[in-house]
Amino acid sequence: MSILRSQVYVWEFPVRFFHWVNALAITILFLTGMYIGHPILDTPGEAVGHFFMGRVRYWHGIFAFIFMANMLFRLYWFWAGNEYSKMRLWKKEFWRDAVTTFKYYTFMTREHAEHVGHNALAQLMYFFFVWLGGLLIMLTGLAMRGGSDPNGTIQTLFGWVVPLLRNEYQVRNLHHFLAWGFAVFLIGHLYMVFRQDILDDDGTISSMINGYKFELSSQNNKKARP
Amino acid sequence: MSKSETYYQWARRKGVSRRDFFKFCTLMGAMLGLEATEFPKIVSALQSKPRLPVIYLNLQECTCCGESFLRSSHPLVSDLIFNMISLDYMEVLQAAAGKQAEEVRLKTMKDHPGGYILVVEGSVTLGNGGVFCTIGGVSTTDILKQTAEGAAAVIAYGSCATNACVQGAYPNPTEAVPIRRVIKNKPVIDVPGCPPIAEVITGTIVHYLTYGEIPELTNQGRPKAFYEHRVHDNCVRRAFFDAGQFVESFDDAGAKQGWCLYKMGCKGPTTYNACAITEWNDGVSYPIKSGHPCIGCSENNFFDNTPFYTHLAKIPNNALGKDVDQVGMDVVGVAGLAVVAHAGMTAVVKHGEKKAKEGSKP
Ligand code: SF4
Repeated sequence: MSILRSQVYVWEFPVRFFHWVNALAITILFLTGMYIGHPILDTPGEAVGHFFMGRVRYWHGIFAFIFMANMLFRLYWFWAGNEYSKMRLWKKEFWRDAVTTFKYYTFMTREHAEHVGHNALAQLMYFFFVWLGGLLIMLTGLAMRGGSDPNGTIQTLFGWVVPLLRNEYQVRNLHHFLAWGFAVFLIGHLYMVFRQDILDDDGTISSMINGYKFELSSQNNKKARP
Repeated sequence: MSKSETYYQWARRKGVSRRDFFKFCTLMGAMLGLEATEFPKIVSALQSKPRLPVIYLNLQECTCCGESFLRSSHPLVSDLIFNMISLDYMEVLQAAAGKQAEEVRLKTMKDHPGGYILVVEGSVTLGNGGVFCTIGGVSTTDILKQTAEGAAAVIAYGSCATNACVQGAYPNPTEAVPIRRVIKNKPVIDVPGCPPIAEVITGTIVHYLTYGEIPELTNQGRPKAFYEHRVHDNCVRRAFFDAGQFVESFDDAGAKQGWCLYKMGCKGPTTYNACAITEWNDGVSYPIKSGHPCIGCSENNFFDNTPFYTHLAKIPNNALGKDVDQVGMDVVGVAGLAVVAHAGMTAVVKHGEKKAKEGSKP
């Protein structure tokens, strides 16, 4: 049984670039953040010779800004990118697809609709964990950073977050809580990627490097590319 | 003492030299974070304006703020604070009692409509119509409303007044609320802390006299000159924090070396207060300097974010019963299990499909 498959260029370079920068930034942010919360290593000797915690906080800040710039760039690419780079939560088809995909994942139906890009459920996960969670973690993070420079720009722009959550202790708490959202997301994400690649043999994994996915050629005409 | 006496006249009468008076003015200017060019304005204000009458109310509280206030650091400052807040009415210190005392309050209110400052220590209670705290048979909520009516500004002095402090902690049986919740039509200046730093009051009064308005406030409604910095950002132990040197127990070698108290439950990283700068008892020390972690007493709901001696990241969340990182790890664990289960299910289903296909083929 041979299935004709054709190559489709799905993930443009900016999307792949965003993806890997994001992956790197989130990993480093998670690890440095957890260390700031729970400093487990002990530095011996005199304090003058060390700046370990200071450096961890420094890199946490650097990657936080990389993460933010990257997300802003991706926001722009929703507008500038190809069909697969978009997220259209307001469309009826989106929610119809969400239902079919849900049925597929819960084994209620055997086959799923072919997706070269993301299915609706995947997009919803991105929306909640990466975009909404990301937005909140940025706001809480900026609010905490801003406190160090009371008359600085960051404090002026994001100082309102602290009174909104009553006190900075809660800001910190929420920041930690959201960080775990990224960990949960990663587990689901990796699992779904491998699963998809194995079951449909469509090159999902390699597509994040070279941008190409495979689809049944009969589907080609149905989804005309812009 | 005539009511129209200026601060300067009053100080001179009390035997304060002109030199000391100037010292006081510069000290206040520095404390308020003003430029040196602004100092003459303070001098002329204190020389020309009559003393501002101040009414000091003690509501639902423990008087620790009052105690702190009496021990304010600089002797000159403390002397001036005392008299600056003119003590037209302050239950703890006034000689008068009962009806006599209340009359003094009412008289000040009548003589200076819109011209006195109201300092409030303690929270008000809303539960059961405010019966949990009454003075002379009147609920403190009503007294506060009545007294604030003609005040130029209200200073909520202490954590009780700014965030209901201990009595406002869960489950808050008396429904204690901060002053801000009751006084809506007057400028309210929050001076949190349990107790707060006394100099803030003099600073605020001097500022009001000099500029005719209340000082600039932070986004949490506190005088910026005192509350804009985190304790952590000016802490004497900060070098040890940045180096990664933490006290693990109160009697270890690190504690003797003066290492950072982060792991001992220090709330300095989330607390905005002037302790690390102004310090206490004539600038002798403040809790962290003396080896005790900051309990974050100036922050809203600080008494709910306990225990005090538990590392910040390990304090159990009130709603979840565990600290957030523990909860996070649990959720990750559940997600992992779910993935394994789903993968297993997929394998079973796909295997079944394959078998069915093979079965139907030949
Ligand atoms: S003792 Fe507290 S406030 Fe001081 S550096 Fe350590 S954590 Fe920060």
